[in-house]
Amino acid sequence: MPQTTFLVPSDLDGESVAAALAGDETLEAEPSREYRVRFFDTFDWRLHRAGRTLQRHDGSWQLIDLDRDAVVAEDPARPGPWPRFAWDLDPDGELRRPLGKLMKMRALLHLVTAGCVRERWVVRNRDAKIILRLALTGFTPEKPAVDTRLRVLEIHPLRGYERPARLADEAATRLGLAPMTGSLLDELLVTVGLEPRGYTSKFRVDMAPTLSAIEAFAVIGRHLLHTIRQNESGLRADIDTEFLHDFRVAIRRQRSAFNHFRGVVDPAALAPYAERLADLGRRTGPLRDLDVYLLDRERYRSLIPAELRDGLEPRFERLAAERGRELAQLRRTLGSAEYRDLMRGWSDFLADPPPGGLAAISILDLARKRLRKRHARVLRDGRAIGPDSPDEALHRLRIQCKKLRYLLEFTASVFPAGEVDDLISHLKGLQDNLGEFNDLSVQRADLRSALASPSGRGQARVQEAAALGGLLTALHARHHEVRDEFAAAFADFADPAVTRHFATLCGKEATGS
Amino acid sequence: MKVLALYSIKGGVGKTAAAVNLAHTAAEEGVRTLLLDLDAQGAASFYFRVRARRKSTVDRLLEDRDRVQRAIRATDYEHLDILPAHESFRRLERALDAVKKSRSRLARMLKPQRREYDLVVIDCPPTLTLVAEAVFRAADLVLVPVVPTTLSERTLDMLRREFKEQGLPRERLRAFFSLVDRRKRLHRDMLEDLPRRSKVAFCRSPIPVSSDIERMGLGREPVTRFAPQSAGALAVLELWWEVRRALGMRD
Ligand SMILES: Nc1ncnc2c1ncn2[C@@H]1O[C@H](COP(=O)(O)OP(=O)(O)O)[C@@H](O)[C@H]1O
Ligand SMILES: [Mg+2]
Repeated sequence: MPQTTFLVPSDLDGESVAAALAGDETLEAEPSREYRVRFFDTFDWRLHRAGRTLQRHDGSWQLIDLDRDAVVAEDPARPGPWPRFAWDLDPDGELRRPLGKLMKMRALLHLVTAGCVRERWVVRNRDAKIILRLALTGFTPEKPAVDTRLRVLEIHPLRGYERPARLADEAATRLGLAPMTGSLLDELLVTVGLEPRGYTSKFRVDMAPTLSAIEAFAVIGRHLLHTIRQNESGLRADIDTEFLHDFRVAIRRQRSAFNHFRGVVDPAALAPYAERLADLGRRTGPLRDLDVYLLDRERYRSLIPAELRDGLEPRFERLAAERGRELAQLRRTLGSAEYRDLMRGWSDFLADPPPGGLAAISILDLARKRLRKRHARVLRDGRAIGPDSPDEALHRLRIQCKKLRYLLEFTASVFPAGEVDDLISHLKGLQDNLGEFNDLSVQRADLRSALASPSGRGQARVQEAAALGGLLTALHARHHEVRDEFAAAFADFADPAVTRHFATLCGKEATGS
Repeated sequence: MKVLALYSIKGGVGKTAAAVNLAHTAAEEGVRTLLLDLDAQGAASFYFRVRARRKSTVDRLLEDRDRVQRAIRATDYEHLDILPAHESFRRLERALDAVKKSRSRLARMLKPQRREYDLVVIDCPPTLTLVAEAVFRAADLVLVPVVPTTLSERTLDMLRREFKEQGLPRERLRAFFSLVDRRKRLHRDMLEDLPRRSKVAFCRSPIPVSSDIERMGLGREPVTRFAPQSAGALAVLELWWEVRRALGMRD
């Protein structure tokens, strides 16, 4: 018989609730306890999505399983600042591995701190044997501070004494107490006005298939604008690299929507915004490139022999310094009147976008029409690629795939549930291959140019050149492997079954060859 | 899961007191412990203020695993549960005799408990019959309280021979001195000589006569709980450490 939990309203006195639950048996208070808990997660709720949370409690850090309300891993808290990244944690501790897997490159953010008072009682029978345990914990949110207190009553049955626990459950129900359905953390978040899993980097809007194309454009645009705004402060505060990443992806998605919805909105009215958003996107590019390099620092080091590794350090240090300058530049951009004006103007635009010729057609019709074309284009370009095709052809295909992917994500909700997800999973395999191929091309080009003008002098210069050479060799080998894997990745996407699936999705006209 | 049996053919030598205190000490170290009260007198159950369910009769427990599950009750202490004695345990001997494979019955009854417990402590009734044989089969260690008197030497030796006849390894048998009064000359001499003479291994920690242990019946709590600093409780703690090592359990 598992523990049961109820929410207790603030006007009910703890002692009398406990007395009501004890019924005719003897109630005995135990010493109460005061403590403080703090909860943490990443901005995009990676722990919560995995059914976990990180809690600081009693001088230790605890990874909690939210369903079972149980500690899965625990490290003692160390003096000094709180850990921000998984790699700040004790390498030999219990938390490092499981948290690293969940958080990856994201930083921990404080969610809520609560001061707690835990009152406890035991219920004894005529033999003075304990037959039931009760606990009532009051949580007072301190950060963010709110006036409401959360009070949670726990009824702990003891093995072999199920009846008193059942009677206590019934008594709690008679008192009008509501069973607690979610986790304690969720109750606490709701108390302080936070929405659990309130942010996701995945694109998801819900639209009826009959919605007009121009309405759909506005719905998508508002969602993306919201994502842009949500990431601004984390980007400025430089909490982790993914704020910028999500910020950029939202801009890119928006620009892709301009293309997919062409004819739906008045092109002349749209043009200036398209241009300004493109410009904003371009300004974020250099910082993202540097982030990608610096995130890969350990991987790069691992690709070359140990004796060459230190040769890379001067380069990474230069890149880190450059990143600082780029970040400052981007902060200025985000603080500029021009940026604020763009955000305001674009928001107004989306409130009532001026219609183009295709404004009134349904989003379902538009989606089918454009998906058909996009899909045909990817198949055609992909089939034209042979073993000897230039790298440039693969890069163009990567762009085509990305457009198709965004279109599928924009319109997923107008098709039957799950249909689009299945197609996306096939497309994703191909995109992963093309993405890695492109990354390697870019990295090799960068290394080549670094090698053409090595920095430093004397021994340092030689060491850096040797390290860069070693890295180029490693990347070169992987680049060829990825190129060879392309045929299989494309074949999976171009499979007749997948193509038929696309055709059904897009209506009667067949796609492809 | 390890099984520890407190056994002696004699009554009043401190089996129950040791079973209760050792089980409580183990549980305090986080060892998930089940105390099995096989003595129809129910002294161990009394110490934990637990009464058996009316339906948990000996015949049903021997027949039905689910019955065993339902008969187990939480004590007031974390990690410590008890299967309380039922008045029908008086018939334990006959009930065992009535089922197939009597001698391995107890061991099989305990097997499913492996998932939930690290240690089972059996408090035995004072008999040398089928019940004792079944306990010997189930136990990893049979711990025998020995009051330092001349007669106990003979009793212990009889038990050793009984063990041998049943083909059980001698290492599973171990004695400890119980109700020791150091003011008595005889007790001091026995403590010196008996372990040297005896073919049964002795634990080094004796349990002294202790007014605190005697008072356990009044407060109905283990001495290790209500007087943890008393000489009696400290002696139990040292005995537990020896037992834990003998059982091959981690420190
Ligand atoms: N170390 C001890 N010091 C004093 N009295 C004890 C001690 N051990 C047991 N007793 C008392 O002796 C009596 C018999 O002990 P008990 O543990 O029930 O023996 P058994 O289980 O072998 O019959 C009980 O009244 C108990 O309180
Ligand atoms: Mg006894």
